[in-house]
Amino acid sequence: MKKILLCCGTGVATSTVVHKKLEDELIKRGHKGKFTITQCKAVEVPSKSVNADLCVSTIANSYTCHCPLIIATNLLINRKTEEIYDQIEKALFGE
Amino acid sequence: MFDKKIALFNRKVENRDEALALLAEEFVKAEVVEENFLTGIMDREAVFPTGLPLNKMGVAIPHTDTEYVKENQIGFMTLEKPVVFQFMGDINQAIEVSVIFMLALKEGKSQMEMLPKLMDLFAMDEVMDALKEVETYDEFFKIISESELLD
Repeated sequence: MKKILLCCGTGVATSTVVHKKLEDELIKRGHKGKFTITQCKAVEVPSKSVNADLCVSTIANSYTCHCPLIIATNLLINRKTEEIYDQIEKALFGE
Repeated sequence: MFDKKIALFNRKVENRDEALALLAEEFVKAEVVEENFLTGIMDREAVFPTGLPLNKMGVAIPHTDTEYVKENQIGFMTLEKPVVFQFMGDINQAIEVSVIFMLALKEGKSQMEMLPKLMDLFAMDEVMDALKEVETYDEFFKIISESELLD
C-alpha cells in the first residue's frame, strides 16, 4: 500500500479539491486499492512525510520533506494535468 | 457567499499590496471579517502565495486562516493593469494578476463545496474573459449565476 501525503496551507482547502481528482485518476489508471491519501497542513509535512511514499502539495513548500515531493498546483486549475499524473504514477508505482 | 456584494471593477493600483488593502477594506466595512483581516491576508500571501496562471490571464485567491472570518464571503476585483503576485506552486515565479477573488471562509462544508467550483470556473476561458470585462455588479452576478457554479 502506497501512502500519499496530500498537503496545502490549511490541509482542508485546496488539498480537498485535489484529493478527489487524484483518487479518481489513480483508480482510472488501475491502482484501485493500492494507495491511501492523507491530507495535511504544510507545517505537518516534516513530521508526517517520514512515513509517506510520496508528498503531493498544492502549494510551494519550503518545509523539509522526507519523501519525494511533487508540486501539483496545476491540478487545481486543470493545467498540464496528464504530466503531473504521470509524475505521480511513476513516483508511486514505477514505469 | 456573495451576500455583501463586494466587487471592485477595473481599479487602478500600483501594486499587489494596494489591491489587497482596497479589497480587504470592503470586507471590514461589511463586517464579515475581523478588523485585522488585511494582516491575515498579507501574512498568508507572504508564506503561501495564491497567484494562479490561467490560460489567458493570472488570477489570485487571497485568503486567511478561519480565525479572521465572521461570515463566508467572496470579494471580486478586476485591475486596469495587472499587478505581480507569486505563484501558489512556486514562490519564485511571478504571476501578472488582473482578476482577484478574495475569500473569507469559515471552517466547514462551505469552503469544501465552493473551492472546487471556483477552480472549475477558472478553467472556463470564455467565462473568465467575460468576468475580466464586467463593469457593474449586476453584470458580474449574472455571469456567476449563469455559470451555475456558485450559489
